[in-house]
Amino acid sequence: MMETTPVPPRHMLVLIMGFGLWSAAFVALYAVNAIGCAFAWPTVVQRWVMIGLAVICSAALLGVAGWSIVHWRRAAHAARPVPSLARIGTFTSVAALAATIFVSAPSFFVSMCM
Amino acid sequence: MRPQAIIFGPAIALLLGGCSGALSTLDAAGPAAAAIADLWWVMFWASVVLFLFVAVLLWIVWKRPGAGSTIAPLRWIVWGGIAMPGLLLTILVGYALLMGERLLPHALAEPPTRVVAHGVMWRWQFSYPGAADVASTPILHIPAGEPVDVVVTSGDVIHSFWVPRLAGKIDAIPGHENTIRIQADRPGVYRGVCAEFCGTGHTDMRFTIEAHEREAFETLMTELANG
Repeated sequence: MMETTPVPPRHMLVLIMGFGLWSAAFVALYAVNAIGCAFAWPTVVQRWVMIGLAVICSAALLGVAGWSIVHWRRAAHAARPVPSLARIGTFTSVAALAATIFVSAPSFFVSMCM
Repeated sequence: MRPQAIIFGPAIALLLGGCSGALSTLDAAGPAAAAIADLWWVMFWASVVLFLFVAVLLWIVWKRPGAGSTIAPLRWIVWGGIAMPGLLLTILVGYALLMGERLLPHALAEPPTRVVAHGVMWRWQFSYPGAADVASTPILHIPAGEPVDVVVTSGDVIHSFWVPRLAGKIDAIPGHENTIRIQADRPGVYRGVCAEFCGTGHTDMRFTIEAHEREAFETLMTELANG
């Protein structure tokens, strides 16, 4: 059945932010790795900068996913319909959070430079 | 002859033909290439197991329509679409990272022999910083049975240094030095290619590595230094 009630634009924002933040984390980690190796940063500094980036991006995604889940639960509790876009956004942000943790985890233990 | 044999016979022969030869990654002649070949085999067998599993599921529902419908769709998605590939990919990525760490040219108690491979369109020049009097050579000479660090550079565009039976690829980037550790377990002749398209002469940018016993290598360096 088609939804006729307007969907708030924030749900579209949540949908975009999920993998938008994931790709930002991915590019930032690559950039810090390349710049750190090119300018011979101390390994411990480079590692902690990368870990910091990974944690910040994961925390931001956790916030987006958390907000989305809370919004869904409140709507369900109040017997309000949850737009399809909001549901897709929730799953997408959770998937993006898992993907970000997965791709940034090696920052904790692999060699920084050759 | 049956049509299947006409189609699949030559195809299998062609595929198996790639398993050996001067440029075969599966015919490893050193520890780095062996590690890469092992990773390939692990991924190959994992994909075979997954393919057979999915094929069996498909065969079951083909023969018995409705089979598996007692299991909720969400359960199929969670276990078959997320948990199983997630677990397998995590194992494969972990294995690949471990292998990657082993391939890096980490510092050794006894520093390995160091050679320089300089790529220019469309040939390689090899020099030996440890033997300053040796002019560059068109063939790369290395000692067998021990690690050798190859410092790869470029004089013009991006090339890629690749000796499939000894190690993986590494880019030759102008203004930058990349190091790859290779090792030939036994003396012999090994073939290498440029693995990054670099212009019209790219396919001719091949080279040869000769691995010698340590004494023969040192004698050769002395001979080259004396002209």
